[in-house]
Amino acid sequence: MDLSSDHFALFGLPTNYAVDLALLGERYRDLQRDFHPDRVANKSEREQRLAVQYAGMINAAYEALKSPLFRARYLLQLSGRQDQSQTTTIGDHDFLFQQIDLRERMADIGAAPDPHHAYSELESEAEAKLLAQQNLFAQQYAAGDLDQAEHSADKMQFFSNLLNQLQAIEDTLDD
Amino acid sequence: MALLQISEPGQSPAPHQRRIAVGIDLGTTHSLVATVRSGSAQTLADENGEHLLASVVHYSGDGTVLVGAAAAEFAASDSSNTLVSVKRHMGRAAGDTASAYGSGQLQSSSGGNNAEGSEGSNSAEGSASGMVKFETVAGLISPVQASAQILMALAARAESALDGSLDGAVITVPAYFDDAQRQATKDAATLAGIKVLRLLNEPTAAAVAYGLDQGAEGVVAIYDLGGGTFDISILRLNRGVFEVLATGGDSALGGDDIDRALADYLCGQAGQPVLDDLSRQRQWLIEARRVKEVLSDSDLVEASVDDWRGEVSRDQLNTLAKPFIAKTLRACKRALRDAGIGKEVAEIGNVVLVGGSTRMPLVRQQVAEFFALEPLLSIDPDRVVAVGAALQADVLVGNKPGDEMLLLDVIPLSLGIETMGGLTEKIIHRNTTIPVMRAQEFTTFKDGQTAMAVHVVQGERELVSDCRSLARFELRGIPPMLAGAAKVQVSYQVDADGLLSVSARETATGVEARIDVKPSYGLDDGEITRLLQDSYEHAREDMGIRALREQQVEADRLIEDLSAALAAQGKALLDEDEYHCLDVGLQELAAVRKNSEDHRQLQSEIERLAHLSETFAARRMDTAIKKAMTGHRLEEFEGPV
Repeated sequence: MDLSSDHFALFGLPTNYAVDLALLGERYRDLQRDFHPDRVANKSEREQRLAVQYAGMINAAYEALKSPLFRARYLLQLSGRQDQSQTTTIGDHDFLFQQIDLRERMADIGAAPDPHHAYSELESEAEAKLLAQQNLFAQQYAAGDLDQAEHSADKMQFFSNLLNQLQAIEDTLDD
Repeated sequence: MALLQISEPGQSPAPHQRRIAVGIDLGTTHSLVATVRSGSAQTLADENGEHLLASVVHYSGDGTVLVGAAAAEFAASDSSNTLVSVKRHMGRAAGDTASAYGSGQLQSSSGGNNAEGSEGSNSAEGSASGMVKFETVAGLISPVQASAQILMALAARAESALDGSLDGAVITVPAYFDDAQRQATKDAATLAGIKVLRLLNEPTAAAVAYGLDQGAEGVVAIYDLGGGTFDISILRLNRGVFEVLATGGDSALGGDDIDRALADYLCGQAGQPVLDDLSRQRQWLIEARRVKEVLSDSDLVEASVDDWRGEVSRDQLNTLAKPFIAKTLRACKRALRDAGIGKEVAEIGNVVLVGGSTRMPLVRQQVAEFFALEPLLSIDPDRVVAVGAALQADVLVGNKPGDEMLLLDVIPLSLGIETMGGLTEKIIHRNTTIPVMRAQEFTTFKDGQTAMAVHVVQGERELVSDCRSLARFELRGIPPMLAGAAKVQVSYQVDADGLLSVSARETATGVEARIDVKPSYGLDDGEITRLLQDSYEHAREDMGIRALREQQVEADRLIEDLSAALAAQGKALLDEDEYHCLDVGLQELAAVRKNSEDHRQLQSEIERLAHLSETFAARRMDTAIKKAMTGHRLEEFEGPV
């Protein structure tokens, strides 16, 4: 069976952007209780190798549904949309100016009087914008507007990348 | 070597016979072995009642090897033949460890041409395969070989205490160990003839010991400061499942560093010049450690080396230790953020202290302040890791069927690949739950390009030169095509021990060029085989007999597994031909198992049957997964909405 065929079915959840994360976690742990390599540590090597494959697939499915960004991408993929995020361009000028502004402020963190404060301020702002974008995605996806939903997913990607880079900068602040 | 009891040919071992499994904490300064007896895990003592085995190995010219306290007696007097803190060098090249030690006053007595600044360490040189080796009277000794001696001493202790041969061991490693360091640890176990049931992260082991002891639930932080390594792990405990949310640390930061800072300080007080003599360095280090330990309970202590006498106060020690502790707290902050609870320290229900260095009052105080929680210390911080490992070993070896305990761990450092311009592209990010498989597609950049170099690296930095290089290999035989037309899929797989294997294949043309690489460090397979042979000749054991026993154990397992599976599901999942084919295969393997004395023949029979049964195994897994899925669908229909 191709486990990647439907992650939602694997965890017994409705195919939806809103996910009960506590329930997802519970189902995930239940599956790993049965399929993790530790369960067959005393069996033949062949069984152990197979368990590594299955546990790995369950982990991948869990990761795809747990993260709001990956979940959005996965839903688009289930709807027949190819992931174009590597090559996509965004034509929304307001959004682009906002990104440029955020990135300029990110570049200035190191020089701020209180870099830690500047960091948390920018982080909170980016997180709030990411959350707003997620809510927008949920509405667009529910309404069947896949084109708009795809744009929202691309924008979520921008904020997510920004947050990753911010964290990398924070790591260097103390050292 | 871990062997199941060999039953008469054709008979499987009794199903519920208790197997002998231990947990081993292979530490920088000392090591322990523990096992589960009468339902509780306990560390095992040597004949003198000592539980801690000093991680010190002494080599003599006559071939005698001493381990533990007996070896430690030579630390200062015969320093070049006495290896200490070898864990710091596991999976490391000669140059790697130098920077981690900082520039202190004490310098290495560099006998060779290698000016490594590792204070108090033996003179070391890089081997052909890259890993550091130490010059001793018994020849060049790698950290893997020295670690194997420590493991053998612990295995011997366990076998005599438990009155039987070991079936397997769980060996702990710092959570922050990279792939090279993990592989080196596994190599050491292979060399010691120990079957590794699992490499287990030290903080996870500690969480198991505490979690099972106290029935804890919720999020816990494990702060583990040992002699040479620091780990912080954040876990969620949920009905027997220990899920690591994030881990962080420094595999070259520990109590040793504080000892060195204190030794430097003492030398300064004594007006000592730079010490270039290894045994003098050891003298000051030994005194520094003693002073540090006494200061955990008193405010002032007298120090003396040779004719010099002085005093050290706890405040002075704290000043020296503070920068190291600050470094650990920064790693804690990062781990909390990676776990997704950066701003919610209050979510942490418990903080557990592990490792001898957490005995320092300053460490306890600062950790308590950081997490705003009084840390748990009810289990001896020196023993808690071994105890947790023993509990896991007991489950893995099959002594507790139906047990709910499950450990879900993560990789500590991202795994990536070198791309154009010496940049790292991450393929698996740090703190991803293992096991994990991930593939990425790459293409050729020149017309007619028929080979592609793959360079596997580990670390967080963008430049390949700042990451650890794990393996390099070339995929050859790509059919000549236009640039960008070939599709090379590079697949990374990390198993439950946290060990990586990599493969690559060209997918566009259907022409399969494939190579599998398992990075190995310090010792290549040939070297391991040679060392094993040496040790057998020494012990007058026959390598062939041992290999045969190993294959017999594997054959018995396969026969047992497959017979049971065929009886349970064979009729349901296989058609008549398939069933017959496996049935015949089983009988053939049983016949070879019974009659053959040739381990190679037995091995190839095992592989043949395992291969034949692959489809059946996959169908059984599918059925089980479908059943699990149907299970929760039913709940949904029946349960309240």
